[in-house]
Amino acid sequence: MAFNKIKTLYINGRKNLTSNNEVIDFLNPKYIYIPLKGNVNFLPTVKVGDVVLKGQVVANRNDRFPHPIHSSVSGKVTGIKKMWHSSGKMVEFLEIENDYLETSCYTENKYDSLSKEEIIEIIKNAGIVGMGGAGFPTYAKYSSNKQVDVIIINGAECEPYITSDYALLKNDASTILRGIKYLMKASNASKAVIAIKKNKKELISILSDAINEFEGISLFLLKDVYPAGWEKYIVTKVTKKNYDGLPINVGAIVNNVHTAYSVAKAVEEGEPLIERIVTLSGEGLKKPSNIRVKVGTSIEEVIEFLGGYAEEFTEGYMIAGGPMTGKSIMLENLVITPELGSVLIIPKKQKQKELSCLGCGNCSTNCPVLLTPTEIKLAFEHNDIELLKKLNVNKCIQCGLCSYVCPSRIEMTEYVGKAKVAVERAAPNK
Amino acid sequence: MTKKFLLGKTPFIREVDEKKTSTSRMMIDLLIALAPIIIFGCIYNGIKMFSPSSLPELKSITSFFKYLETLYLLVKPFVNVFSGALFSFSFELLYFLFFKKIRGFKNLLKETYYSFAIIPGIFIALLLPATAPIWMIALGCFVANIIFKMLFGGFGHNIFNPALIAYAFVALCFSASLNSGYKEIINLENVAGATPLTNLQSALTNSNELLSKDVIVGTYGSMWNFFLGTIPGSLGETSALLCIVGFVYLVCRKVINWYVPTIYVGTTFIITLIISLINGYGGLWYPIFNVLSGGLLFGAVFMATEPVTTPRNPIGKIIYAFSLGVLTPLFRLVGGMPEGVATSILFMCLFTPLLDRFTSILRANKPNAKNIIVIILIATCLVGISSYTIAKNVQRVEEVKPEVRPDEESFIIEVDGHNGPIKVKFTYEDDKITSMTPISHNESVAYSEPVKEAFETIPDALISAGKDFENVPNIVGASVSSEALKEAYRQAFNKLDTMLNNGYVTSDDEKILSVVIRGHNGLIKVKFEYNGIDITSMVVTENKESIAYSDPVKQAFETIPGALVEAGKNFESIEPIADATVSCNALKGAYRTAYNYLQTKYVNGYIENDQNHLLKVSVKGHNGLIVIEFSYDENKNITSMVIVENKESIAYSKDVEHAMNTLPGLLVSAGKNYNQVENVANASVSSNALKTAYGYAFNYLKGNAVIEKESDSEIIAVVKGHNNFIRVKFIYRNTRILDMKPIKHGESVAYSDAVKNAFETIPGQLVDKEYNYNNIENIQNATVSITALKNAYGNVYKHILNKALENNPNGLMLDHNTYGKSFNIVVKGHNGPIIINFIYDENKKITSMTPVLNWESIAYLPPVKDAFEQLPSQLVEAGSNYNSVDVSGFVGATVSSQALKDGYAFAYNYLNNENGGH
Repeated sequence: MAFNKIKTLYINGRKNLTSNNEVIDFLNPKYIYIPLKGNVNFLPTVKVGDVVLKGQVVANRNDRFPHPIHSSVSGKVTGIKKMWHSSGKMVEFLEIENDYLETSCYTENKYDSLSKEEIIEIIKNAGIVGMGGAGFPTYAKYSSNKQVDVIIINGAECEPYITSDYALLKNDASTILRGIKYLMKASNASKAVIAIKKNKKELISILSDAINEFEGISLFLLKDVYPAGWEKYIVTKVTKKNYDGLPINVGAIVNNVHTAYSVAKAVEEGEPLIERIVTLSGEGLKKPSNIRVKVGTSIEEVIEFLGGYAEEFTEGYMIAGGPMTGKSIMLENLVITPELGSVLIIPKKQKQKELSCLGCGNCSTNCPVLLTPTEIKLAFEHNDIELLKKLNVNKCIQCGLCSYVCPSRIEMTEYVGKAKVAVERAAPNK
Repeated sequence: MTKKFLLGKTPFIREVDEKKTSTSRMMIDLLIALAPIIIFGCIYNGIKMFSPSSLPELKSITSFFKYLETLYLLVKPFVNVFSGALFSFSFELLYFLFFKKIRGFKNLLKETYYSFAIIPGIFIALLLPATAPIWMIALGCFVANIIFKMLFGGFGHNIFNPALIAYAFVALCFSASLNSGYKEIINLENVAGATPLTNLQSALTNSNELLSKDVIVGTYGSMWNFFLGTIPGSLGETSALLCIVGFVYLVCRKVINWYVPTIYVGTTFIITLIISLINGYGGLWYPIFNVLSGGLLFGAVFMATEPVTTPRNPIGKIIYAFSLGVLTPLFRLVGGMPEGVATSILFMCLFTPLLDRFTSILRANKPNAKNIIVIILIATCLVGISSYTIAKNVQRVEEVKPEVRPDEESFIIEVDGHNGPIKVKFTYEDDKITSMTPISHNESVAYSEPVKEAFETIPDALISAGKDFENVPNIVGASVSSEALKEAYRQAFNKLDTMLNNGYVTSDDEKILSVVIRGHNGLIKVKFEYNGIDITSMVVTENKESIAYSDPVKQAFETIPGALVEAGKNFESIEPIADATVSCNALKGAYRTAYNYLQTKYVNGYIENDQNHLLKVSVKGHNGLIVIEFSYDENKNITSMVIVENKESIAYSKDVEHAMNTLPGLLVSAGKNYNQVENVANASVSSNALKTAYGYAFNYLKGNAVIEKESDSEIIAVVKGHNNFIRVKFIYRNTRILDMKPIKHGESVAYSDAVKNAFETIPGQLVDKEYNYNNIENIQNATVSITALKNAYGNVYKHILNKALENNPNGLMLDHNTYGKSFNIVVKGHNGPIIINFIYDENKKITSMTPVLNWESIAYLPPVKDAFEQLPSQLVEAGSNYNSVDVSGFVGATVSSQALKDGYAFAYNYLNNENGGH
């Protein structure tokens, strides 16, 4: 039915900046940083001056979904520093100086006889969180008692520039597939699908060979549109069911490709979440690449390692995340957290000033959740909370499409975001 | 590090920045899409002036100034568009300068550019006809850019589409000059003529003619011309093809949504298709015509998609487009402005915020019961509107059927009074005269009390006396008038008596004849069903005969009607039944009346219908009725003659077959010389019948009144009206028409007050004016009907004068006013009778001679004109020596001049032989 259809739009992917390059390793940063605040708070388990090993728990998440967070290098805690977090805020980080010894404190697991509960426990202790951007603890998704029919591995990467999932799938498909097997076991799901865009021909041929060895895993091809990687879009496409709330309501769990990889690593090698591939791309970089880094590395070191910025780049944006939804970072001391899949350096190229809304309705036509940003903007400007609720502003997923398509360059996404906040703030009083 | 990282707003890539879209690019795309339309409109409207019909005028241009003017007119459309853009731009620039206090020329230009100022100006130039004067475009631009755009807050804040509201404003203020334009400089009628939709609207409102493709579309050639745009209309709206090209371009460039124009046009198409099907306009031409004309496509592609004033929400857009599709035909059918597109778009602009609010909530939430109810309510309203439209339209079509006006039971008698004729109207019911009203006379009621008394009392006395009217005493001192009134009554009484004795036809509705005749005890009313000229049944509907008491009478009523019908043309051989002879003879008389009526009804041809350029005439052939259909073109030339029904002996006689097969073609090709087409041997009756029918059609289409039936007091003539034929009954006495009564016609009396008024008053006026009938007052919006009635009167008048002149070849006295010392005579001219008025003095010397009515070729032949201007005064001057006046000088007008001379001679002799006349 037309009312429930999710609207999508083709966006030029710009993926060839990095997609054909080899993944570069950069595993010996000078310092790594462990967030103490971010979207959630972490309580450190070490003090300044303590010596830590690679894989040692250095902090614990302190809320409904507790899980440990590990040091990705061996070395010494040297202090607490304010750095940029991928959520776009400056927060306190624990600084650990690398001694380059790579002394680890974890051992291989025996995985043949693991039970569902044991796998979930391993995932929890390895500190594995959603590596697609949300950073939600993975074990929490598997702790539900609800029936799970299908595990969906999201490899869509619908935002432009980003190719880290692509690079991982290309390089290590079998590890990922094994990780999927563990996830299936952890959820008792009988099947799993890997959702990738149908324009990734090379990947499709690699994967369709690889999945033959794994029963119950299949490929699911998505259109090359934005936001094809949106959880709800994929779940609706795969299960052909509409739902409210979480995917578990229709018997599905969605995990990122990186998450599945980390699960395999944790189950087989006992390695907690200490590495990931990050896409460093954008026209502002000399050598855009996919790079394997230690979690906690500062982006400054990585960019230096990659040869710095493009010469013509003087002014622009550093974006934590994709160009559509990412946050702009004003200093180079951005820390790579597990959920951060890409950092982009994009030169500023504003071609037109903001004009009056001409009312073309492109924002409304292209809204995946069928909102009408112009009306929301009006209601927000009049501070009409009741109307904002009626306009269902909470549904906004802040995909950025309304701003993206606006011919008058109006910051629609920002207005809708503010309106959403206004409604959330007003809610407790009601 | 010298690199600077900015705080940006997500998303960091924009279509605008990638030059994939932008407001200015959308506007430029709009202009690109408009370009072919502008160029076509300009070239077509510019070149149109140099069409063959205006070439002579162009050739006659001699002065340099005039030459420049003509050149200017050629590029006028370009000038219009350019000046529209310029005016709009300048107005906004000035507004920014003076009211927004923007300083610096570069800033001003930039500000005005990003306000997209020129768009309304260009649209205004395109919406107005090419002949619109520049000042009007300037005014439109002012209204659009300043009043309806800048004062509302500038670009993006206006409520109405600026160009459309300015167009509506200009159209409202200057509708007259929009149509006239530059006609005084050069004849531009072929450029700015009536647009097809104005024709459609006038066809709908001013007549009840069934819409036909020929009339509406045919005027402009074919539907292809609508598609290509070679039809009159405003500068930009005419070419459907280029609008579609623009549509495809704009959709490909993502400037507009494909569904708004599609839904709009589609809804209009479907609604007009329904109207067409219900009303039987015949096929798809009507919806296609509606879609291709009146700027609908232009409006749908360029106006209904104008972003600022239309809903932003896709559902809102759909409702908006659907509403436009419903409203446009509605406004076209019932609204004041014929095109309907501008009106409906402006109307819907008002609902844009409402639609946006409502549909945004609707779209963001799952559909619930309340929303569904609201949608259903909206749809119901819209469907209601469209059903109203359709119902309204259907109503009009029902009124189209020709109206049968029952013949009022009255007759008019004229008798000679003391000072001239007295005209009296009698009404009757069954066998009784019920009222008697003198309607015109010259008696001296104003001077003489007794005469006044006579006119006041005698008619009533006569009515109450009934058949003993002879005993009503005359009024002393007014015996001539009294006697005249009594004479009128006597004639009326006798006339009714004769009518009742012989039986007469009271009504004829083409299937059933009603006849009244006097029986033994009272009136017998009989209905005859007939087919062609054959009576198929006879039913007695009313009688006072002694059926209950007398078996023979009963038997007569049971058997005679059947027997009469059975006997057909040998009905006279039916023997009356003994003891019921009076009844039997009455029945037989009724049958005879009907039989004779039908035998004569079709002799001169009888018109059945005249609609959609199809004329149906019946004529009496050898064996029965021949029904013929003539089709004719715009110029009323007969293009084909088809025999649709006949009973002739084609199967038995080769000659008849030959006649029926070949004569129609020969007659059509002979045209006005149809009388010279030779009859087919051994089939002369059939041949003559066909010729009669052709002659009928030919004269009818030439605008003449065709006489269907004629007796010594009554003529039934038919003339072409606006919607169908008009059949008129004339009562006359000698040379005077006493009464004129339209008895059947298809004119719009049911809903046009003007036409109704015309039919009520014009016949009476015509009769009163007599030979001055040409001077009756005109009634607006009923000109065609009035002309038709006038023609009918004139032709019949001419006919009876000619008939009277046959017996009086030297001339005839029409009336003589002894007090005014003037009289009118009629003599035979070249083309018809000439009526001349003479005034004389106490010595019976003619002092003035004025031809008051003639059919001579004064307008075409200068000698005739000269003769009419010079001869009368020469004759009057010559007096008794009139014979010496030389008429040979008027070469080429000998008949007319001789007629005038004869007229003078007749008048002179009349005065001198009659010793003062009377």
